[in-house]
Amino acid sequence: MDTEPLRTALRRFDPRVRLELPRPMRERWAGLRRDVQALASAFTDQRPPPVRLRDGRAYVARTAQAAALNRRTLQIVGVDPLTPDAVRLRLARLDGAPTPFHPGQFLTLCVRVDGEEHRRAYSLCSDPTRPGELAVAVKRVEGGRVSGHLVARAEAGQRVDVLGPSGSYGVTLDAAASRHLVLVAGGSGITPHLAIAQGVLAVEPQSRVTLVYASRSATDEMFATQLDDLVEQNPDRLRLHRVHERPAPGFAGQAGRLDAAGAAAAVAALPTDAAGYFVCGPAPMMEAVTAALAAHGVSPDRVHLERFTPGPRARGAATTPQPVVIWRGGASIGTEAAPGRTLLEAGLAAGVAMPYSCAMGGCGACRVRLTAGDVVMDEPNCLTDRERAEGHVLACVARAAGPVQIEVPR
Amino acid sequence: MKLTDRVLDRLPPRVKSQLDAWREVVDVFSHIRDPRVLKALGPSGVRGLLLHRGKQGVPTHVAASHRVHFDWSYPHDHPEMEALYLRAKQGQWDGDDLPWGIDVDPVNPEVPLLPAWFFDFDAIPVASRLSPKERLAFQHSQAAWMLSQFLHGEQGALFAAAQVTEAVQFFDGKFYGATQVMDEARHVEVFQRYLESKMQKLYQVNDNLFVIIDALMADGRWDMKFLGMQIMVEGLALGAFGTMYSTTAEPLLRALLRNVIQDEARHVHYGVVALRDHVRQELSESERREREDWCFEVALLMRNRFMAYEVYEEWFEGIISRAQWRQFVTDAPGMELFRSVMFSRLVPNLREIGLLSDRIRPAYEEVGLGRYFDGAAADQISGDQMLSELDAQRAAAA
Repeated sequence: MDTEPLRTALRRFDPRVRLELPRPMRERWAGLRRDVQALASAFTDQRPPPVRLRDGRAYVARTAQAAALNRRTLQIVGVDPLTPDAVRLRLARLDGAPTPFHPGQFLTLCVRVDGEEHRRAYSLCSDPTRPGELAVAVKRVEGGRVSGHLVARAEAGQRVDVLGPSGSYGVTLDAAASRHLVLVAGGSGITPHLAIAQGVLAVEPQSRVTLVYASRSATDEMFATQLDDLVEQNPDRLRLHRVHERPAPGFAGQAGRLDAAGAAAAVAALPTDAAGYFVCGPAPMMEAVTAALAAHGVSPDRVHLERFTPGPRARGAATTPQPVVIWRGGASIGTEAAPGRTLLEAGLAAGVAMPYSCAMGGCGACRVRLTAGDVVMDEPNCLTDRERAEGHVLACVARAAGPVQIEVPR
Repeated sequence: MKLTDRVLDRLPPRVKSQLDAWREVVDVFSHIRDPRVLKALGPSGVRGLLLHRGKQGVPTHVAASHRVHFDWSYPHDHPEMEALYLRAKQGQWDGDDLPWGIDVDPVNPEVPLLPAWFFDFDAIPVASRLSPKERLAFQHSQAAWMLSQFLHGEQGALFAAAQVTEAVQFFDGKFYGATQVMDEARHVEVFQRYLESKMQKLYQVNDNLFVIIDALMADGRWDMKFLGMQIMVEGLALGAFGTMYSTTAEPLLRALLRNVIQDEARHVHYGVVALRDHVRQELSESERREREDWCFEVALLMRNRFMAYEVYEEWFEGIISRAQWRQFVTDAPGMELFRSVMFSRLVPNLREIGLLSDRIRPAYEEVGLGRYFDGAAADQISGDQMLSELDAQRAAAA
């Protein structure tokens, strides 16, 4: 049946009324026209599409910022001794909801010791495929107030405020990936790598992991049984290379430390074309391993570093108070940074809601753009070369070298 | 073949679809027995089903005619509502606290939005030929369609909650109502954000949903708004949210729905508390019957008419008929679950407020809803209990 004449007539149903009608009538007339067109839409091919595509761009910045600022209360659901001076804290949300994270990310624990709040970043060491219960490992640091407090006093049932999960270290799991990852850990640097290894082995059936793990001795090794179990369950996909500084009789791994010579020996057997080399541990060990990997022929852009301790304090910051102007969303606030204070501290003290998370140059949450003046930053930190070239600085480790102006992203 | 069939057969698919849609409209309205219900739903039916007012591409204006109830003596008049208000204040949450950082891939087979069994793809040949990848894309469409309808429903709920807050005669109810307005705004916020940033698509409002929203926005009687919004639409929402919560593997969506379900449980409880005494003490028998019939018709509308035709238009229009599509959706195990979750909440609530008398029970029996007569009503079950029931269902299915 030829419906074309009817369709054409309906499509042309658009009589223009030349009279100047009062507004309510104009609206009614427009409404009537829409009703008739809707009624006829089946015959005119002018039916609106059933679905529209949305790009969600409006939420991108908000998501990154909300994640970085997200402070929540977790409950300690268990404390497990790992070594004589380290414990694992198992944490869960009060409402039982999951807290998903990428393996390699960390939580910043806000711990009150003697009435004062301290923030410390701890890598998540739990299985990322089970986000209902999180875990971090805390090792007592000599003279460390927070680690000492947690190792001695943490108990199941206590609550602790956290920021994050945050940080870009680690991997995004991908079931379709087929890759070889090399993880090098020293001491408590095993924590992010345990999460990465568990996640990759569980989610990526075609990927392999080589883990080099250096400890002082067998008793100082964290997660020893769990690692042995992982090797047993994945004999073809996980290779564990242990390094002990004080090996027990009969120890089958590599003896000694991961210093220049030890690192060179440990990396000698590694492939040069793995998808990624992740290094986390004490600063001297990380330097030795980075140098050994470079000498071994590994391209530096495949090497990823996670620092637990802040880099050394930079020199060159002003020794007198400096004016700081902070722009945010088209408005500005002027304040003054006292000598030695970071831009983040100055901004927060002036009441500006500046984003931040780890507060030690490791996560990038506090990134701002320097629009005028000079700062000095503690190095190394997580800022990429490209971000530097674009004029970004990390407010948490940047101190004014003179009057400065910064812009906080929205 | 009859002549009419032959003529029909030669029409273009679009025209055939439209005729089928109109036949469905006639079907819906010719089955309404109570003329007062027809009068209440009829104009909304014309606006939604024939004129597609929700899909005209411009904002919709619905005239409201309710009376605003002021009370200058600020009485403490309803302890149960006061208790709900206190609970609602403490139960507020911030949509920004959800784990938005999760990277949702709608077609990731490892983390499916809907389980593989949600549809029986082998039921129709054209669906059975879909590749595994296409099936995931189809499930993405269906999930985005459901979530879009949640969003549109929540917009209706936002304005209806505001109207109800104006119209309700209890001062404690007004306080509570204000928290529900905030709850609904938050639900609109999180569903919109999830759809835009994670699903990246938004479906038009379903015509039948539009009819229900339009009918209760335009009705001047406060108790009809309550019935429509707090009992029927919220009941529908609980069914739909519960189904998705207990079947999806996507962690952000689960976290989002978990929070929303706890709010919704409170909303239905409020409806039951407000209407129970009103229906039993204030209404005449004739008024009560009208409401009883109205609820039955709306329940049928919700049971039979949420056919995801917008997904049909996107995927199968011109390939299979609307009747085949209806059958496919009706028989889908996931939709079966949805109806079961919805009516197991809704029917006991109607009983509790006195709108399930012996007069109407046979009608419910006839459409297979009799088995829900003895369930627990909203004032006997908390949001946490609901969630743990859903979790148990999920564990049993796994």
